[in-house]
Amino acid sequence: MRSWVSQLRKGVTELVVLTALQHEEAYGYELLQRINRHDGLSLTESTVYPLLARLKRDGLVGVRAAPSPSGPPRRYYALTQAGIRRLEAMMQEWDAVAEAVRQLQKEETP
Amino acid sequence: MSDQQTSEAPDARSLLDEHLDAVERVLQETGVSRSERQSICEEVEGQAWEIARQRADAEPGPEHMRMVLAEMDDPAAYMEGAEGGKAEQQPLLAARGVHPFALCSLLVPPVGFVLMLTPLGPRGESAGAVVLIVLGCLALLFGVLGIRAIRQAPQRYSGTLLAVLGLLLIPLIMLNVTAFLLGGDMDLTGIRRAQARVEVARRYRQTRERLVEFHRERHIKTHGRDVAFTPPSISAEERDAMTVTRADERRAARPMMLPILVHGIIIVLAALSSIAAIAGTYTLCRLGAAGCSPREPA
Repeated sequence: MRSWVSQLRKGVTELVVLTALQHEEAYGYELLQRINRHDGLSLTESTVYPLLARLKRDGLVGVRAAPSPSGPPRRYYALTQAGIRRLEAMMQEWDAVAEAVRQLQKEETP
Repeated sequence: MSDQQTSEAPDARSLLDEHLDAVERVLQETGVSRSERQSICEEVEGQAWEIARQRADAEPGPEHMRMVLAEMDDPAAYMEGAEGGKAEQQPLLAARGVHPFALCSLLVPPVGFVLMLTPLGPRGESAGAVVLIVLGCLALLFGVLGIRAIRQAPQRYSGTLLAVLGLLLIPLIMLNVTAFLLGGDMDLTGIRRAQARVEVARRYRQTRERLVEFHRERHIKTHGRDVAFTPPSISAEERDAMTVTRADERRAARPMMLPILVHGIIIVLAALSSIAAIAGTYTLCRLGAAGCSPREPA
């Protein structure tokens, strides 16, 4: 069961990160905190930061730098138009899968 | 990694640097690009400083940093994160498998060419053309079926590009050959030569008419109108120069834009069919390199 949960979380990492950025930009650690505030979503920096780098490379997020009171300048990530489109497409797939599972559950309930 | 931070907390700094170096090494080993490694390490560094400063009353010392780093992911964990990203970058072919119809649509045209080049008995070229047409229709059919099947299959298949290339290859080549044959009758040099021949003949005729007119006037002045006039004789060479065949007349009358257009179409079609063939071969090579089974579902 733990393995399945781990696989499930891994599978939705990109969806989670894009969703966390849909309303407001965030810097790396802020994004991590924003995600981990929700029970059931437990992501760590070794998953999120490489993913952010890849999303930036793919043009799904844009980055702006701003000074930080602690440490190096913060890099604020925000969804680009391509990122918004990707998120919409992923949400549609997510809803379709969730709905199909719900339907299946209803049918199989005696 | 500013100088200010280094001077403020050198021990914490060196602990963090050690951690960042280890993270960078792991990322480098997994093939992450330099810019991405730098970006990831900056995020890790920012996070470490932020947590350490939240916990320390003054500047974070080595003990704070040690605690922070102990709570953060081990550098080895970045291997999984980076490889997860790399796996997502793999071509769709490896992840999903290619529909067999799509493969067939691309494989049929080369088979057709091989058969065409093979001696096919006394029927020769006509049999080759029949084979090409039949296999072209098959490639079209496989291409259309492949695209339809990929869209409708409950499992996710890839290969739409292969199917489209396979579908286009033979029609493109046939169009190319047709345009080439058509263009053969419309070569610009041929038209220019025909026009030159027509022009030379016209000038010869004009000169001849003037010459005859000159002789006629002189004859009238000398002998009067009652004596019959005989035009000067014409050499065989002059007669040939004045003669223009109907084919030359037809060819010279052709507008120049048409052959230019036909030649342009030939070049475009040749380029398209070459691109289709190269792209198809490249996709197949990538498929082979990925060790992908054609029937491997997602």
